[in-house]
Amino acid sequence: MHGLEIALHTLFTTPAIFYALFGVAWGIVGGALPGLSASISMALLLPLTFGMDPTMAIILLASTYVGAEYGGSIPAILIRTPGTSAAVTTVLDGYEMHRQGRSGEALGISLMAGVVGGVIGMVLVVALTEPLAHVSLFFTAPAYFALGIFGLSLIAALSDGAIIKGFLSAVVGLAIATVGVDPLSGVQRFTFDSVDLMGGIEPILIMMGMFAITELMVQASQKNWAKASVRTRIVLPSLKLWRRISLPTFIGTTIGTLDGLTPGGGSTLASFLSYNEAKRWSKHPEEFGKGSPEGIAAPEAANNTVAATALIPTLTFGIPSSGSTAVLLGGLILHGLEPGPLLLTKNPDFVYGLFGGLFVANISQLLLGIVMLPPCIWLVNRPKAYLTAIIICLIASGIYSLNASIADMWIVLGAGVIGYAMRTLGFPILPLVLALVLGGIVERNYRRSIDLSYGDPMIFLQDPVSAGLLGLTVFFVALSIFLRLRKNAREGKPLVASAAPQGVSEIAN
Amino acid sequence: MFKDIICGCVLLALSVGYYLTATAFPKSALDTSVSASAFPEMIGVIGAFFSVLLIAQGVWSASARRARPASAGAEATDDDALTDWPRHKAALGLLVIMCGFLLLLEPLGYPVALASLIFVVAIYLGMPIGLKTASVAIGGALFFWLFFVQFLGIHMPMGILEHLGALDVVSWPVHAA
Repeated sequence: MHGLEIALHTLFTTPAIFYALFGVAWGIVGGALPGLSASISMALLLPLTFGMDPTMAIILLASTYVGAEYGGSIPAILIRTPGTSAAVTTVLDGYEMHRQGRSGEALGISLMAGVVGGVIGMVLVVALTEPLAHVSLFFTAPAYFALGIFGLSLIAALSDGAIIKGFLSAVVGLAIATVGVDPLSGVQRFTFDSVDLMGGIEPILIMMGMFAITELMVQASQKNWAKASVRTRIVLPSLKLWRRISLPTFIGTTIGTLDGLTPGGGSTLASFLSYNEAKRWSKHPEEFGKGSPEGIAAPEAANNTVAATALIPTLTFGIPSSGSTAVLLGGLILHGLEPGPLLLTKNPDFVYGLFGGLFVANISQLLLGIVMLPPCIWLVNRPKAYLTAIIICLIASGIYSLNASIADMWIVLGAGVIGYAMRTLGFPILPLVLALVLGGIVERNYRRSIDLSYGDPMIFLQDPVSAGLLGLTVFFVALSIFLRLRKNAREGKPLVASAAPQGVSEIAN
Repeated sequence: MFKDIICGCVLLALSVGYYLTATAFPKSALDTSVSASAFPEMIGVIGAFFSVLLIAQGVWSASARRARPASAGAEATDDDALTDWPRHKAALGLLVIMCGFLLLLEPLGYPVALASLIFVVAIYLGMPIGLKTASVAIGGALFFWLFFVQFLGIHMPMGILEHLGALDVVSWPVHAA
């Protein structure tokens, strides 16, 4: 009851509702523009949250994530181009329905399934966060260090087919996190006497570069996307249709819940899995791929559920499941909030205020999804060249507004070039971003632990939580390597075949 | 898998350089049982370890590929992305434009540099040189200037406009921050 009071107090005494609505609207626009995606839309907003109240800032970012998951289905249905990678499966049946003159119905299914998935996901978030927060009582400095290592190893090991590259990516992120004046001893580390580097490299700069600039560079050689019909209007599902899509919506919500709770899961995987399961359980599996409403309901419910449940590992353990939650984690750090088991204990006002804002975001999506459709179609129909130019302006203005520093903008460009090279060479970006965000926490707790034990590293094995987490780390990494080797052996590939470079539209969503 | 071998070698060199730089950090009177260099040294060692693994993976894959010519198809996809020169050229062009914008931001000033950026990017990505593109560029720059400078109250470099005294004409007393 205490949490509900805080949530209501936040909603009615602060501009939380405004930020939730704005975030959803911006997210729908960002998701609807192919090439922007949820994580980039959030990263673009991040500099503008500087100076805002932390609760409002995170409500804004998390609501953007909510809106983007629905927004991604708009171009998927209307122009066969998914706005986000999670909307790839929506293309299969959504575009077929559009070709049959049922685009309004397809958008309505996407919207309603998404709202249902999002609201159920939020109920689970509220129900699970508090019990998980009780775990905080058992967390000491060695346990925090082990938790950081566990999260990083898990993300690196789960990096699509590139375990070694995933770990190298994480190592680079940790290395970047050490740049700047050491807060404990005052020693300058890797600053090369540059005043601009003394304060360290802010994660937001690397995120902007690696998510947004990299994507713009990749998109530079891509052709314009198709035009959408301006006459499209959303048609909400009838009761008869509801009966048909209720099972796939339930399947999508269930899979989305499990995927959101799993670090490295992400909404794209949830969409694919729920599409397959919905087809398997359907009475009309032959209609899948030919304009089946169930083929839209399942993945859309799944990716919206992930947008909610992914908050649980992000907030309670500081382990994000996707690029979007990594940006959210960056937002928490930027606003001085340390994610992890103590977040709820130390900042209940923030956590319950965020939950309140997100309930508003998920419910308001129903109205905003209808209202924002015409502007989204208008934007999608603008020449890509103008949109690219405007996005660069937004990035440049946002970054300059952080510290009034041109050097920051050079860092963003540099990160963009590195991100482009990483994508071309098949290195996953997410472990680097995550390591950069968690690097400070990992190092601080490592040093605190070693200090506590007078230099004895055995403290990490003597602390039961730390030992358990490090044991789990070894187990999961060994399991990932084993599964990868077995997969390669089955497919007749060399046992250590490297991962392929990431495709044009692939970006951690 | 020569790209993996080359990447591994480059990352190994960087890891060694990072480690050596970390070992050269000065000692501080505030150091406890863990110095400021301890964590970076650990990262350097781990980085070198995984770089060696990547090189080994590259060598192993290359020898396995030589032994199995049938899998050449899959390998070609890998190399295609790396040698997709039109894609890299387009990306490099955009990067050069953005670098030019950063170099000109302070001398030209925020509104003029933004208008130039929009105009050049639009033309680079295929829009015709004309009144419409110029209008979008000026309109876009004006929108950003109004939002960031006037509404959010952020001090952007005004460059040549400052010298022309244009600020006095266009500044409104509506600073929010």
